Amino acid sequence: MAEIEIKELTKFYGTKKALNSISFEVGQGEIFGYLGPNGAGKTTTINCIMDFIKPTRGQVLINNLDANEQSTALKLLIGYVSSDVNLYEHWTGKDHLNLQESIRGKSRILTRLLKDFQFDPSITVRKLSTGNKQKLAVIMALMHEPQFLILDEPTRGLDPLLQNVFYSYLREFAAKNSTIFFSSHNLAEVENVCDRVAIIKEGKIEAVESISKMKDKRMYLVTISYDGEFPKSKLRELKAVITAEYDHKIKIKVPGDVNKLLDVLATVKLNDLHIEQASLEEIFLEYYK
Amino acid sequence: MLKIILKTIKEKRNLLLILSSISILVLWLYTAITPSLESQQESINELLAAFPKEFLAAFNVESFNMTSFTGVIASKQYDIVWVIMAVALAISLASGNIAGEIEKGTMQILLALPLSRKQLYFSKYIGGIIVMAIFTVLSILPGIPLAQMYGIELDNNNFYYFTLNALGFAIFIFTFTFMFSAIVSESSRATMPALGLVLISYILNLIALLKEEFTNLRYFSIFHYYSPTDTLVNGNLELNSLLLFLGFACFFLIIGFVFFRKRDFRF
Repeated sequence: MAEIEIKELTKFYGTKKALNSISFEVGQGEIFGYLGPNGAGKTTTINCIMDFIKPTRGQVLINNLDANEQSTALKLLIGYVSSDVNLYEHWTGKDHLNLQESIRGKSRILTRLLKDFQFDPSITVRKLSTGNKQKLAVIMALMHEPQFLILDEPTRGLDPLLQNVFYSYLREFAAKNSTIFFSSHNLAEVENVCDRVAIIKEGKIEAVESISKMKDKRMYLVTISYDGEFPKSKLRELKAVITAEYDHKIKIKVPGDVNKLLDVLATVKLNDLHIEQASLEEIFLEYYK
Repeated sequence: MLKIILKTIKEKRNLLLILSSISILVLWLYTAITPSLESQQESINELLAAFPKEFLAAFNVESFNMTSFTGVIASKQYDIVWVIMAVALAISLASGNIAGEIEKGTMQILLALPLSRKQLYFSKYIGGIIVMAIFTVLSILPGIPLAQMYGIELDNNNFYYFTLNALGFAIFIFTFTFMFSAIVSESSRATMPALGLVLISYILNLIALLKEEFTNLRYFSIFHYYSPTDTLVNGNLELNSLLLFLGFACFFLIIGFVFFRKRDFRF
């Protein structure tokens, strides 16, 4: 059963169409990724879900409640992390946590969260690093074990270890049937955490796919320096595209599974090898033209 | 709701304490010099006789407000110093209350809480009104014990009347700025209309006092309805002025709410 339903959501800023009649659903206990390059409409969608902005047309239903009409009741069920964390600079972390508790009630997992995220709440926000501010925002969103988590690029500024702590919390919450809406422009992150993903580009939903299908759309940028001959014919079998070629050096774009390429490279005498994951923008250019 | 009201008060606590302390100290100064001014009443009257009547009227200078305690504080403290402090506090408080929070992005924290926009708007408004009320009371009513300390006789009711009149004025300025704060997204854009209103009002009042043919312009000035001399010296509480301040404040409050309820918050 759909816990979050976005129905033909449209938003104009003046004459600019920021969202163009987008629709999709998120199920209970699902971690749903929302992928798109910067300016695609991810934050606008989230701002509509949170009732920060009013849709021009369409509707957002969460738990069968209209996000626009019944936002007060809904926000009791929602934990939210913004893409740009803005906190009260002269307040301490504890002041922020107290504000949440004074309105939402006492948190049962605050002590655990503070320990897991290694966060000291006694420090004034203005003295906190960007990463620590992000930790505080994440703790504020998680501390009441919300039924819905609306996350707009929540790991920005978190170090890789804490990102893993955060992901484990998401999995734990999802296992308890929390529904998680996770916006990101980091494909690897979405692959790692999410069950399904919606792709948004220029305000339109390009695809809603399972992560397994999404993984087929991975792409690698490979630079190979070699001696002797290179079996280019085998590259065609992998649907790889040669983007540049110099003397005993070749640059290729390889879609899908990287292991097949490694099998090919095992037959070549390599001087140097560099493999990187293509950016989301490059994948968009390839698959969502 | 209470938490947001307390947050609003707490954020302006230091400015409130500083302005109230300055006001009390200046009030104390005028109280202390009043006995010596009273003893020089004759020479002050002679000095004033040398000035053109229009000039004295324009700057609200008359014999009684150069020599009596209530006259001195009405013309010196509450006609100028207090107005500047009250306007500064009201504008800074109201513009920062909503537009300032949008500008800094902290409004997101409040909007994500399970509070309706109505609760948020009115909590912030009530918090602001409490700050303005505390400032008004702390900057006016200490005049009563100070006068008693220096053996100055006065009618306490005049102070109560003036407190009401001054509170009406402060609420008017605060609510006018608060309305713009609810509409725009930058505190400077909420500040400008309020400063413009105060400046235009001051100029209109001045023209009305200086030129007899423009005397009716005074009705368009908020300073016409704020009258420390009338209330503190003569004990006249103009209920119409108070109602006018509060009536317009209600109007601004509703307009601001209509916009706040419907508006987009882009962060």
